Amino acid sequence: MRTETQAIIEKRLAGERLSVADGIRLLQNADLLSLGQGADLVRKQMHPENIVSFVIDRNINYTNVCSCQCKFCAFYCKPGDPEGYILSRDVLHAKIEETIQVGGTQLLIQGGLHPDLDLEYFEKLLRDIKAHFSIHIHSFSPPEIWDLANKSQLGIEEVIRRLRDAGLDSIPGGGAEILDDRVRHQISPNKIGWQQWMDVMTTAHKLGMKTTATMMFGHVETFEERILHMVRVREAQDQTGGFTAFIPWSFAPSNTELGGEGSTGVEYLRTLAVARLMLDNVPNLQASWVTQGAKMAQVALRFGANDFGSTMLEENVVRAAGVKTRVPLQEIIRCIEDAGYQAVQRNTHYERLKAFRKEV
Amino acid sequence: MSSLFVQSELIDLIEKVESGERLDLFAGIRLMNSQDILALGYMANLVREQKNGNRTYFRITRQIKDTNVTPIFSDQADPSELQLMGGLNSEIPFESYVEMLHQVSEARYLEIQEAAHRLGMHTNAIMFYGHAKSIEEHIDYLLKLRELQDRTGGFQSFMPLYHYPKGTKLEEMMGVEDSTGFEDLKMLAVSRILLDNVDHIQAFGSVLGPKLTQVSMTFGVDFLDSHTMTKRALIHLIEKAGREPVEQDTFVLSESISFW
Ligand code: SF4
Repeated sequence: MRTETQAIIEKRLAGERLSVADGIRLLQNADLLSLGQGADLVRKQMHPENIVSFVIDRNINYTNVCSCQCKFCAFYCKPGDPEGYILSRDVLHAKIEETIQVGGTQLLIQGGLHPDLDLEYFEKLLRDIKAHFSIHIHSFSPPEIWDLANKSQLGIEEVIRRLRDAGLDSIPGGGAEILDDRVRHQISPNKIGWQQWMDVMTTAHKLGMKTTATMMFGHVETFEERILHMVRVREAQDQTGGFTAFIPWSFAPSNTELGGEGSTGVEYLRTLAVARLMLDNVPNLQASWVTQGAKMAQVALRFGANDFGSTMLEENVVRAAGVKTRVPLQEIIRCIEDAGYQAVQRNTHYERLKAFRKEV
Repeated sequence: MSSLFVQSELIDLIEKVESGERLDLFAGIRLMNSQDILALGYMANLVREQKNGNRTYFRITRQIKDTNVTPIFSDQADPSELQLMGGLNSEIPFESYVEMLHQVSEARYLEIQEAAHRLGMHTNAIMFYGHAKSIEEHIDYLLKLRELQDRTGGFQSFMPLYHYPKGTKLEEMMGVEDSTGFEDLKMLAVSRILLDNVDHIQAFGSVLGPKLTQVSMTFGVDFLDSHTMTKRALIHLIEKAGREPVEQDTFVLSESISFW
């Protein structure tokens, strides 16, 4: 028996693009195994080699002070809060040194939107890092870029250009949440709108920089809004080709103003698989062990994911929301091998650096 | 059959399961060696839905404390074979249960189960899985359970339990000693596929975690214990997996002593 949703999946397997209505139908009605199988077959088409990659990096939160106050965020402090911090140069450089020592190739430097830190501060910070270390800087998500643009009275293109000239290599896809303003208005009323988020990305792409796109789902958004998010990324990608990867993760409700049940494991796998089916032009799809745990992230490798994301030596934001998963490098390699793939360390551009074998 | 699985390396076995044919040792080993967990899920789900439809049974385990089952689990009691018929509940530390079970051989365990069935009791079988045994040994044991069940019909449910290294405390584990998601789902699905004469397959939620436990309902599982979850959270999990939650009455079940 061939159901309606199976026909949609087969359409995608035959190379056709899926519509918004197709995506909604899949999220609503398709059974979990058919979605997984469809996504797995698409992954095999896009990545015929039997490889799952990961990046060794460190997430450094330079400050937890943030003027944005998103309702889903368990990490930030209001300006003036005694718990607020800004990392000193010494601490920052020590963290970078440690990252390089464990084979790390990438820094994910992100913070809250600190009212006292301006464009010149970050230009200096980037130049200082590049003068002392050889490492890829994948940092400052679109809300931070807009914040700097507003503080310096410059356009985002000028801000991105100056950051790039100071040493910024690529931009992470954070702050996307759901790319729809109804949702954003509810969960992060002070944050940039979806088009502003996308403007940063397409501008960076036009300047020759690569970026990723994330999606945080499982709060107030509808299935339609979740699919719209994917389609908006897909349309921008048609224009620029600058997105290297799509990274969906589920909202972790504890210690947040938004609260609620959070999204379940089944919902995560369904959304991941639908993302693989919808995003026919974004090459890589990451599993999120940080929000799902190692077991689920491994299972995600059969639901469309071809990358295990980053080793995340530090992940303050998710940890603040009560998710206490820490998966060391050896565990990532074991998960990948146990699922039947070769584990390969990659860089930010998804170029393969080194094959790994589990230590026995 | 779903057209999406026609290219699976397990297609011949899918066809056998669809036509209700029993799988043998060799086929079981192939299932365990395959990385095609979605095909395993597909087969397991067929058997699961034939037997239990869309229902997922659940039990609030804490209540066992008030029944006559508890005394045989008391800390002072020497491990006895009688305890093995009781099985796991949330009142016993995981490690001491594991230790208890390791004191009998699998062959002896099956004898005890059979004796209990002969006395008219219904029991629940478990099996340890992990790297201490070969895949062939796992499958061989499942087939022995299936034979026994053909003779007595006394098993109500089956639960595979990951074999942790001795002294492991679940809360302190940071992944490395743990089973993988593939291992857990494979073991559950293969158990469901092979044990075609046992009504229920149970997942041990404390090991799988809530997310994978929920996913396991598509890989053969139709029975869950609450363990550390609240009833509300457990029902939410079942409903969000698209299943219909059916609560089992703890008292009635515990009368048979053997239902954990
Ligand atoms: S999510 Fe980012 S922008 Fe929003 S409050 Fe948290 S740190 Fe600030």
